[in-house]
Amino acid sequence: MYPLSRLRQIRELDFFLFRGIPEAPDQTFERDSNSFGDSRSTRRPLGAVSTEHDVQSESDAVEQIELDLDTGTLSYVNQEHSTQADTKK
Amino acid sequence: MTAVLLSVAIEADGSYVRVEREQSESWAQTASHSVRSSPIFPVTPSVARLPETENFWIGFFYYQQAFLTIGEAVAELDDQRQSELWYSHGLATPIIIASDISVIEGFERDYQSRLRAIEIWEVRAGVLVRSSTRLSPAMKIDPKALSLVACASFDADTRSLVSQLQQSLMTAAAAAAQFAPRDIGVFAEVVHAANETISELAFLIQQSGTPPLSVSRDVVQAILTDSVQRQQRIHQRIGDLVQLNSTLSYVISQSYSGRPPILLHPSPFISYQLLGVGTAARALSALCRFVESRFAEHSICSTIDTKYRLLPPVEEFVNLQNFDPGKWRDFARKEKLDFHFDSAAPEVVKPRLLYFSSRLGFRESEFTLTAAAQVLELSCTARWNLITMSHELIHAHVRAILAAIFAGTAETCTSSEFARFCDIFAQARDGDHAGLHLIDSLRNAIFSYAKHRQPARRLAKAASATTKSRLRDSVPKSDAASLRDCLTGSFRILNEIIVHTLDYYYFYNGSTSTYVTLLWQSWATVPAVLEHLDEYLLRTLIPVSTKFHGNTNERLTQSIAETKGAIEAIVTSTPTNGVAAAALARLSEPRAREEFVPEFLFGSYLAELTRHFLLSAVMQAALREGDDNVDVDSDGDEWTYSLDSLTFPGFTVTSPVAFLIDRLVRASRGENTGVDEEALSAWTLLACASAEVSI
Repeated sequence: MYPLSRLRQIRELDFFLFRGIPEAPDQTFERDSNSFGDSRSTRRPLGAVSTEHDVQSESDAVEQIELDLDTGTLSYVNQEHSTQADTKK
Repeated sequence: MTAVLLSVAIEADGSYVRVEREQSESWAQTASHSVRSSPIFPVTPSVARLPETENFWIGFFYYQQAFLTIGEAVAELDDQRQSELWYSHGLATPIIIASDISVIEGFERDYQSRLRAIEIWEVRAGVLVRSSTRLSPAMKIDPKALSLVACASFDADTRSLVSQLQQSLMTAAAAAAQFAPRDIGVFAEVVHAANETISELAFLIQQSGTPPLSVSRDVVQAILTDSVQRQQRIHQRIGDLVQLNSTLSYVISQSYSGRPPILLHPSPFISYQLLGVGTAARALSALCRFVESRFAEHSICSTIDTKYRLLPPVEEFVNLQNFDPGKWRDFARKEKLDFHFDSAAPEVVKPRLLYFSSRLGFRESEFTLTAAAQVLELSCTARWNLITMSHELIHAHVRAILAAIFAGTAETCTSSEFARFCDIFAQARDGDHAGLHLIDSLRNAIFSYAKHRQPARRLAKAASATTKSRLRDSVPKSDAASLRDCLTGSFRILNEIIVHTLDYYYFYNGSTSTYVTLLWQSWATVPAVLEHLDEYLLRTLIPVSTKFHGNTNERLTQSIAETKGAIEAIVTSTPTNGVAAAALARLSEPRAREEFVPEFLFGSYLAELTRHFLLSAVMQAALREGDDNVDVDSDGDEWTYSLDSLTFPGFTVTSPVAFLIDRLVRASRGENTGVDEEALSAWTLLACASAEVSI
């Protein structure tokens, strides 16, 4: 359990992200509290469209990234913010 | 001699008692419905012996510190007396089985200190002819300290919940006062938590009166104007009361079953029905209380609340271009974060309720922690080691950390602050850090991870379906609604990465072989791992990578090499571990590294954030400090716990973390081969239970 002030913060973050939807009964035996199949992973905020499994269709997105698998480097393409941020450092 | 079974058949004409190596077939067939048994284990196996006739006495001793008392006795008793001494999973430990009552009375007289109760059985011709109980004075309880606040305004359903909770609390406290006075403080904390919940519920229902401290001004406003939100919060708080009620039932039945009179308090665990699992429950409590108290003492959250709101911001690399964890490391050193962690104000310890569960396994929630019931029989193995609880304990810790990072002020809440948080993120993305502080940087970095989580998954999928080396994808917008969706969608895996990284350092001291052994031996029993092998491998590779320097590729390559070596060792020592074999095969695939790159890139970004800003070296040391039995090598990397298996040295364990990790290492070295696993597991739990701390 948590001190009252911390408990309040925890509940507010949880309520904001998941709108207080109670955890569903377990469907499968899980050793790990937050592993796959955990009820929390199926919780969605009311009215929200996106989840882990269906976040954002590409048509909604505005930023393009390119990843080089050989070097492990990431770059933004057609994206103004990234270059601004990097040149200002 | 190893484990024997102590059984009682309760029949219409009397109770029949047997002590034997296995339950006799005749009992199993003719009287199984009434037979209660528990395994018991010899304190000194080399001299142990069973009663030679059906006429004997049994003394069940209930001590505050059974492991210590047995150790003191072993040092003083001769072989004859040691041959009569046994231990169990239950509160009754030690147990003396002797042909003469004077042996039991002599032990009671000689080892009075810390004795809470004793029950003595006289068995004649195999029949329990007499039992007697002597109790030490119980700790005084102040009923007011255990009283729940009035709830007259509630409906009958909720009033009934509160009434049940009140009765459970009184039952638990009465048992604790006699057998485990240390637990009284735990139940007093449950009362506080329940009263806070009841007060909030009363305000939600009545919508009048003084708002409880558990809600902020902004939330009060929302409650009064949004009836749906109000109802959702009512459901939440009632859910809390249901959870507390349910958990207390488990706690009472597990922690105090097997108490005198023994035959009136059977355990719900069929294999331990006679004597219960009270000592095992104390071991769970000792580990969790120890860790909870250390986390409270060296509170990272206090540092975030105070210092991180004052310290300067750090470059977040929000788009992950040119991400350089070395800059974070340098910042942490320059700003002396470990000094701030060391000097942070401690947070109040609020213990959780603990129990074993066959259904839930290892799990945690706001009020409870559960351990898999398999621990009772197999805690000496890597598969079901009690130290697996570390993961759950850190989940609880990380929940508080994330709440602190996304917290509003005393009057606001996350919901009302979120738009401002998003503006700060946009400001940082523009390279403007004016007026920002370290806490803003942490929040920005978490946003950045959340934004890239889903593209990372798609890129990983694409990487496994193509031989191209350059892949493109898109990331979501950074408006408040999108960021909230990203955070919600990635919250589970985000938690996991932070938890695994902290677990790797806090409990395993950055030892990959120990960490990987625990993970991949325990995961061998989890069906989901094979279905999601890459994610579980990433959960291993990402924390391990944080000990290496260099660019993404270099860190991933080194992490794969080290992890692969550790998994290879498991496959060699445990060829039956098909899950580890599958993991090894996956890591050995020609394009494994390339296919791991997308998720590793973003996951390691979050892990590095954890490593440099959320991990305290002070806390890491605190989990091992203060125990004279911990031997650390000259580099400070490897450490051992000087306590030989199945021995009773006459001291208590101070650091259950160090003790259990040592047991894990011994198991992985094959030191348990040929040893009775159930006896060693019961001994492990008994020794661990000796580390109990007061709340």
